[in-house]
Amino acid sequence: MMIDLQKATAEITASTALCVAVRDNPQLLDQRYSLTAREKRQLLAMANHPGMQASCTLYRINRLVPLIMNLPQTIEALGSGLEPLLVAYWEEHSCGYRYSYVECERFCNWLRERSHLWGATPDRVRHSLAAEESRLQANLLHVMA
Amino acid sequence: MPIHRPSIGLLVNATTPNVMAESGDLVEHLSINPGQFFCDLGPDSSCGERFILPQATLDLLGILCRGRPITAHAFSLSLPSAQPVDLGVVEAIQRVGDHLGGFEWISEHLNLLMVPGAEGPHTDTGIPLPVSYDEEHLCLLSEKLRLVTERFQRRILLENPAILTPLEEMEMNEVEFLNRLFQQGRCGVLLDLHNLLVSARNGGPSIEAYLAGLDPLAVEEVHLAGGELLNGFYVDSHSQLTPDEVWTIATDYLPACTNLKAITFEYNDSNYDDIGLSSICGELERMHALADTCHHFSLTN
Repeated sequence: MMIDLQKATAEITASTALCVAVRDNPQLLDQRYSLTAREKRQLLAMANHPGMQASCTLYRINRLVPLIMNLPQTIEALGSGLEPLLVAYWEEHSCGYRYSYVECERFCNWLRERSHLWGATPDRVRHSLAAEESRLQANLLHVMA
Repeated sequence: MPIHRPSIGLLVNATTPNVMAESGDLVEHLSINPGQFFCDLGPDSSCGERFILPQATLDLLGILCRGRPITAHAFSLSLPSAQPVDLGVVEAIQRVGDHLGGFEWISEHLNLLMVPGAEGPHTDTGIPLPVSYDEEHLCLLSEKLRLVTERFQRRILLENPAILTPLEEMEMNEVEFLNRLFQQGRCGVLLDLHNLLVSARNGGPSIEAYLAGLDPLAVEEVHLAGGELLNGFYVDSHSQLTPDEVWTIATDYLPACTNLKAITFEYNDSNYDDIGLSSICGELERMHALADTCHHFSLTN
């Protein structure tokens, strides 16, 4: 099915874990999607293509840039806790939003509910998050004015 | 009847005013991504309006564009996605165009940019993804192109993608797919010569084979750009001047494109300092020399 082919193309690019899992167990595609035999072969070839590494890296860069631009202090305050948090966020929300204020607002809400994962300086994260979330809202209001 | 050759221009970014100030008449047209000039808060926006157009920014853009033809280079519609055309986005693009006095034409990408049926308004794929060139996608695109052409009342061009992970076992190749849409009268082609280089270097078709198959009459705009290596793969990062390999292709191929109206250089504003203002102006001068070798046309064709 065209819809499932497109969804699968996006999801194996967004999730390195899913891409590796599909390489190891092609039956996973049948469990998650409704695909023709040809579509399944196309996706398997794509998951195994050497260019997938570059695609996954570009995906992460493109998802990360809006967060760094709008929430720089929060990102820095998360320190070594950032990477697992981002992986979890992108696993949960594999699709982004092209308007960075809206995407960052969603990330802020998601992050606020996971204060137990804020790493070594949770007070700094809390302070940065509050300040940058307010700035984000102000920027959005400015755009709307 | 005035005779014209393809116009030379830039894809607008935050540093475009610097180039315009320095290069004067070298920039004959501007191409803008309309999605950068509206904010889509989604259908459930808390402020009651889905699209916000920042008036002050649009006014500045209007000043920058004054006196020059403007084209739209959009990323917002994801026409190959298996979902209906978002008519709200079409209207937002039109509003930006109306503010600037109207777009000459509108280009979109032959990529999957949105995932059908994704969560709420959050649908971005993160990177442009490949489309399967088959009859099913051809029918879908053909109908959506008909609809958006009718809505915009403008010619639509589709840009060939830069592919890192080409799909295999397709019913037709990209050139056949684009030729079919052109022959159906659904669109023209925005031929990104640098994307051809990216695809060729990453296992896609050879540039020579691609251009030998593509109907040169379909090509109505050309993009030039430069890229770089990422994890051993050459990517379309718009971070450099156009490489010599692409210039050679342009010089050899473009004179055959008798419907070519515009040649546009794309670079990222974040790479502006590295590329350098004088180099960008030099690129524009080189593009003018290229355009002089291309087909000249009257405004009626």
